[in-house]
Amino acid sequence: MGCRGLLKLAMLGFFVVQASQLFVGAFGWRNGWPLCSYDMFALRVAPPHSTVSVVLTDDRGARQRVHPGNVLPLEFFRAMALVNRTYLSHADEATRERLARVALSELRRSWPAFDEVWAAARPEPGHNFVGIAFYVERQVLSKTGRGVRLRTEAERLLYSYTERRKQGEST
Amino acid sequence: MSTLKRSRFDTLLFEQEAVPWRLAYMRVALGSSVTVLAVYGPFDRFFSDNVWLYDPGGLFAKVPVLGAASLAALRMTTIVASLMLAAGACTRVSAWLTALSFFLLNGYTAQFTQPSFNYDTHLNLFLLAIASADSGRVLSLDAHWRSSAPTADERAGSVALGFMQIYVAMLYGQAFLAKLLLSGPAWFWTGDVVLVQTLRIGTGFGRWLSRWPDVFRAIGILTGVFELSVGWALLRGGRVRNAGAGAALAFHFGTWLVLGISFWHLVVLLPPLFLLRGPTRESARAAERLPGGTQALTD
Repeated sequence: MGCRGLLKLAMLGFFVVQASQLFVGAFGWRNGWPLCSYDMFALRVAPPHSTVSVVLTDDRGARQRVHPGNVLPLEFFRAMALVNRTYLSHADEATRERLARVALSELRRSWPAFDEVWAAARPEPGHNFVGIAFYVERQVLSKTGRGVRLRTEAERLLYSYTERRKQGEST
Repeated sequence: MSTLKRSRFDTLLFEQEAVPWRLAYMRVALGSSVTVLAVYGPFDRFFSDNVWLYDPGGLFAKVPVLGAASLAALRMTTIVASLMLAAGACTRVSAWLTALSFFLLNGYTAQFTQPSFNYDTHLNLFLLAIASADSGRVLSLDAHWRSSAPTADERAGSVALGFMQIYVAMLYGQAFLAKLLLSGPAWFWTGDVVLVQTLRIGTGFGRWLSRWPDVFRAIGILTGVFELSVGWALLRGGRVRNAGAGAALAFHFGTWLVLGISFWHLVVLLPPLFLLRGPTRESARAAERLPGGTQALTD
């Protein structure tokens, strides 16, 4: 077998391994970085379905419901994977608290949107987020006069964390 | 039939057209994309502040935690090397340096959020392909500084272009099969995945479109037709390939309009890979006979 033949064989081998990532992804295993299963949005999430949302509370008690992509400076789908791994699976209490504290601390620094990294959720000017809660929501499609929208049918609190600050401490 | 398939594979790998030009376009597109990603992308202190999330596997299993200074140095190396690559300065060195530094940077940070799919790693693979060939013969500072044209080795360049073309064509086929495997044909004919994702994460325009849910059924069916056929079209020649590339650009534009996901780091590579041709062989050869070689065409 000549040089060309070997090259073609090597190329074929690479593409077979690349194609095999499809099954790796389908079974929920880890893709062999830098290979990719390209299974984004492949899972059919026909309503009713469950999704995780985040509720942020600022220092005057105002609440804001956001996507996990708005509380961590990562690509929105990676932020979601991290939040799901921590709060939907059975991560220990210390890990849950740690990620909640990281999210609040990152939100205080804030960050702009770029490509698939979504902008940080922002509190009203002059205020800070001091509480964060993670919910799993059951959503259904509901018809309205203007087409359809997602309606939350039920929700369950997964984890909640509120910062305790010393009296007189400024943020 | 098998002879035909073999010859098509050979043509793709060893007989690409206008190799120096298309490689140069790819180099500029790849270098610029990596610069933009390394400057604005999520590679900052989050990863040095939160090393407790680092969960390395595969190729990174033995890579230790990087401190803030090391991570910043790696990021800066990627930025400088990719800028040099885009400009074609010390192209062979900057190509390998970009490929290796971005491989480490992108791969290292991906280990913090596993398991989560990779979405921009075609850049890592394509950088390695570009580094294996001489992409600095035209449209580069190297070409401007050289007094004569370097010896042509178009074989490596042709293989690199063929590899990248096959990879992109396969990517769409893989996306189709993933949907079929995980959700069945209903993914395509109901359109409900696109509808639900649009309502969850889509743009204002996408939500406005949800007034007509049947539009999403059409989008689902069109997505299936596109993903099933575009790979084949991209690997053909002439007008069929142009039509495939046009369809891919339209598909990504539509996805951006509805879902806000542009996949720009793939989109910018589609024209140099499938649409741009460069000057004809005759005019390129004529230019190489001029004093200054191919530089004459870059001036």
